[in-house]
Order: sequence, then C-alpha cells, then structure tokens
Amino acid sequence: MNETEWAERLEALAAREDASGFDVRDDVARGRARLLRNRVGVAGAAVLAGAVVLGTGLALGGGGTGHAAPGPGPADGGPTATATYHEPQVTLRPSAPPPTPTTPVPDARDAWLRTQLDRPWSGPQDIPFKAWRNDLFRTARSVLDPSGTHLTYSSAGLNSGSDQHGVGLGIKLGWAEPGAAGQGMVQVEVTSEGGSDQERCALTGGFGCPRTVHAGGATLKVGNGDGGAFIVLYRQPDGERSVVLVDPLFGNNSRTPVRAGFVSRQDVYRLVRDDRLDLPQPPSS
Amino acid sequence: MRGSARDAEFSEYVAGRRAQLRRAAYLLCGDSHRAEDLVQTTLMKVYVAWPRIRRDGSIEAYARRVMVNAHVDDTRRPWRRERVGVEGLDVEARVPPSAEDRDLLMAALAELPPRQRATVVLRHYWGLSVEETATDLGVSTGTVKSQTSHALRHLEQVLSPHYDERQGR
Repeated sequence: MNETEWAERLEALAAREDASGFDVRDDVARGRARLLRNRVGVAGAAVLAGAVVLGTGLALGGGGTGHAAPGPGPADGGPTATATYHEPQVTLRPSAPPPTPTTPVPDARDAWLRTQLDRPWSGPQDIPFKAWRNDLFRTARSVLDPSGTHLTYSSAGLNSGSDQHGVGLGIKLGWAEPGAAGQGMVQVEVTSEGGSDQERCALTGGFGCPRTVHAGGATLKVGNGDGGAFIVLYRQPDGERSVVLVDPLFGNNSRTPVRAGFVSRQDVYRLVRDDRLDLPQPPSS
Repeated sequence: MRGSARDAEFSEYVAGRRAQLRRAAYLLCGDSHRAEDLVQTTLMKVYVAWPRIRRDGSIEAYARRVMVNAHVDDTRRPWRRERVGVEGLDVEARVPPSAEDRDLLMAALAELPPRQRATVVLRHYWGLSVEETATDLGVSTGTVKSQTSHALRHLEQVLSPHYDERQGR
C-alpha cells in the first residue's frame, strides 16, 4: 500500500467520527477557566509564600493564628472569566511543624494496583477492577439510594490515578429523577495518593474543600462548587482518603441538571466514611 | 492582547479547525469520548498560549504537539485517566459491511505503540513531512522513518489477509 492509499484509508476512518455538534463558546469558556486557574495558581503560590513567612514570624513571636486573605483575581486587562475554581481558605497554624517529606515505600497491594492499571487496554472488557467497581456502586446505592430508583452505573467506567505515594480509583454514577429530564452525577473515589486535602478535592472536583464538618464522630472536609455541586473528603484511619463529589449535572452525559440537593449532605457524609470504601485487594490477600 | 480579541480569534480558529482536530484525536486514541477529552485539553492550552503562538505563527503546530503529547502521556501514565465501559448497557453497534475495513484498520492502529501510532497519524493523516513529524514528536528524522516503517509493516501484516480475501486472492 502506498502513501496515498494509507492517507485515503486514514481519512475514511477519521471521517466516521462525528466531529459536528460543538459549541465554540464552550471551548472559549474552558480556555478562560484554564487561563484564570493558571493565574490564580501563580497568585496562590505568592500568597502561600507570604503566609509561610508570616507564619514563621508568628511562631517566633510567641504564636497566634491568622487568616490568609484570598488570592487576587486575574490581572488587569485579562478576560472576564467564569471559573469554577474556588480559592481555598488558608488557616495558618504557626505552632504546627511542617510535614516531614518521606520517601514512600510501595507495598504489595500498591504494586499490584499499578500493574493492573498499566496493562494495555483497548476497550471496556479491559477495564480492571470490575468486581470492585460494582461493589463500590452497590455501596453508594445502599447509602444514597436504597430504593434503587435513581443511581445508575451506566458508564461502567473507571477513574484512576497515581503518584509516588499511592493509587486512586473511582467511579462516576448517574442520578436520574424518574419522569424528569436531566442527569446528575455522584463520583466516588478512594485514594492512597499523597498531596493535601485541598489538592485532592481540586483534582477531583475542580474546587477545594476548605470547610471542616464533624459528622458521626469523624472530621470531614467539605467544599462547594458552582450550580449546587459539592465535595466531601474523609481521611480514613489507615490514611487512605475517600472522596465523594456530587454534581447536579453529569457534564459528559447530559446538558440538563437535576434539581440541586438531589442527594442529602447527611447521606453523603455517611457514604464518605463508610468502611466499605477501600481500594481493591490483590486476589491472594 | 485583550480578552475580547483573543476570544474572537480563538473562536474563529475553533470553528475552522475543531472538526479536524477531533478526527485526528479519534485516530490517535480510537475512542470518541477520549477524543473529545483530548480536543478539549488541546484547545484549553491553545487558548492560554494564544497570544504567543499567534504571534509566532505556530498555532497549528502547537495544537498538534499538545494533542499528541497529551495522548502519549495518557497512555503512559494512569493518573487522571478515565475509562468508559458501558458494559452490558450500551451494546456495540452492529457494523455495516461497508465499515468493515475501517474497523479492521482501527483495530490494527490500536495495536501500535502510542508513538508509532502518533507517527502514522501525523505523517499520513495530517500530511506532515518526516522533518515536521520529527519536530512535533521531539525525535530525530531517523526515528520517524523507522517508526513509520515498523508501524506500516505491522498494519500491512494485520490487514493484508483481509484485503486479499475480499479481493478473491
């Protein structure tokens, strides 16, 4: 087959992808949000550096607690942005020593999880942890939707991630109201990855979780996004973190949100600290 | 550059080029959902870099590089990967006979390592020269030539029996 024939075949293959039906404004909005997030990130780093200096000064001066001001907005002259990022509130704790960096030692389960994730895949049949994903769905349904009429795992997909500290896995569940249009989303993740709670929430939901809530004897981190979205993080006794993101709009699957508050916060607080939320175990363990 | 000017120029670019970006992304990853994610990621970065790449006249090259690198990174690192399953609920659509060749080609493409696949798409879909492909991928022209050769040989091996059979050979 010559070059022209390859080009024609690839062209024919690409042509079956429906590339129509997009709205340029969506791309502009996403670009603006990314631009603003970059700027906030730079500004946030400056604020954090200032906070460290301030915190050190307070510690040397005998203690005290201050509150960092929110970071500045975008630079003058920049585009007006409709960002979904929410700058987390930073509470200074001068008496607390900074965490000591440690070199994580991956355990057998961590290695097994990474091996499963690194295996080549080409379709749904290759997505790992099927039993775990279904168990996670059943756990979420038992807490959020005992009647089984709202929550679906129609994506049957897996969200995954990893860093030097560990591995994170999660699923996205759809929420439908019988007789009504639209679809909401509940995302459930369990992770042994590192990073701060704020970073973890921002990675999952695009916004932080600056509020502290006490529920059932546990301390939870909670954050609010746009359009009724919220996120709850719980650090389990073994150090793993479970995260539940609730969004009235399942962005990839629907253009119509369900009603805000379709899931009660109390139920989400129960789900996020449910002891069935755990990472998959290797078959031998 | 003022935001409104950036928005206007970027919108014009998206309107004219998004379809091809989406199709190239589909060839790279073989999945419509992931292709859309790749395009969105690419266009976000294009928007952020717009004043610079517009001034340098490198919009198209920048978009290609961002897309290919994002795809290769996605295949290399599991972090923030989303795999969509729809097992048992969204059954695979029945393939009309006329699409058989395309399915075979997509399956053969999926067997290629990510960089070989990217090389084929850049060379034979985007129509780049060996030198341009080498620049985009950050490798030597020799690497591009050898990866193209390996990739096309593999595709030939996978597809030839089918083509021979269809042509009654």
